[in-house]
Amino acid sequence: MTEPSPASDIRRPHRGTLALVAVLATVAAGCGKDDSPTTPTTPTTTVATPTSTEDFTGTLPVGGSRFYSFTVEQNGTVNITLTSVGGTNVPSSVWLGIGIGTPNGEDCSTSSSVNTQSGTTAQVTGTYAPAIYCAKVYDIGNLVAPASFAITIAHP
Amino acid sequence: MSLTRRLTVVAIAILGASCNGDEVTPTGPSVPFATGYFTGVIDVGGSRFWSFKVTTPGPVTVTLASIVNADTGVPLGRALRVGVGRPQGTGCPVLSSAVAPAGLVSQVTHLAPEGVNCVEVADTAGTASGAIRFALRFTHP
Repeated sequence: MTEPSPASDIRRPHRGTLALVAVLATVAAGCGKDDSPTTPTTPTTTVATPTSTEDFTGTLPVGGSRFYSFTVEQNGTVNITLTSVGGTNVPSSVWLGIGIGTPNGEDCSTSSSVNTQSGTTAQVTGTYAPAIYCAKVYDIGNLVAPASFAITIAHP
Repeated sequence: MSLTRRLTVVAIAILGASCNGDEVTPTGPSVPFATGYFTGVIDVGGSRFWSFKVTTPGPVTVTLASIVNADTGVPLGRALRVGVGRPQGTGCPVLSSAVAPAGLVSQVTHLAPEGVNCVEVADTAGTASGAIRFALRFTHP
């Protein structure tokens, strides 16, 4: 009868166990695809300069408004200039309202507007994302007769 | 199968499953549709349009529900053009349209992009004896 040797009580890892450890380590390592955090980069938005010019002309009735829709193709600067106002009994220096906004229903809902006289420098300017917008001109109570007007819209 | 092998299979299955977190097919929320109504009067040969915002690309349907003589209110059997497009300049150039009399079912269905779109009604024939009062219904995402 053989006495069990003390060494046989210390069980050595079975080959199968070693293989299991190796497989689990490999599989677990595959899950660690996001273990090294990276600092998020802030996206840079390019502001394009106007590349297209559209002319909007017409007749503004007393107490009325007119608008013109245009498409901004890329994020950039939009300039709207009331270049001239005229007509019978309408002084060229008359003040009108002009603005930029979004077509909505049968109107143009302006998000930015000013009261101005005609001139050569853009009276309404801003940076806008690609979308459809509208330029609006309206009587602020100064007209006593229909006014002819000319507006230039410059946009990317 | 030994206990070790069974444990191995179970462990690999669990870990493998935990690696598939970004392969779940997303199920998006259903897109709500809005209904708009556009009523008014157009002169002989005239047109009018209405702008609205589409929140996600999808079908816009247009139904010319009613056409009557603006002065007498008598229903007219004539056809008008109804269409869907995008506002440009002082109008609404239509991309899909139909010339149809008033009806109960939509005359135009148009796959509209996200953003501002418009519906237009026009008397393209221009042969009416007087102004026309119309009622148009449209749905959009």
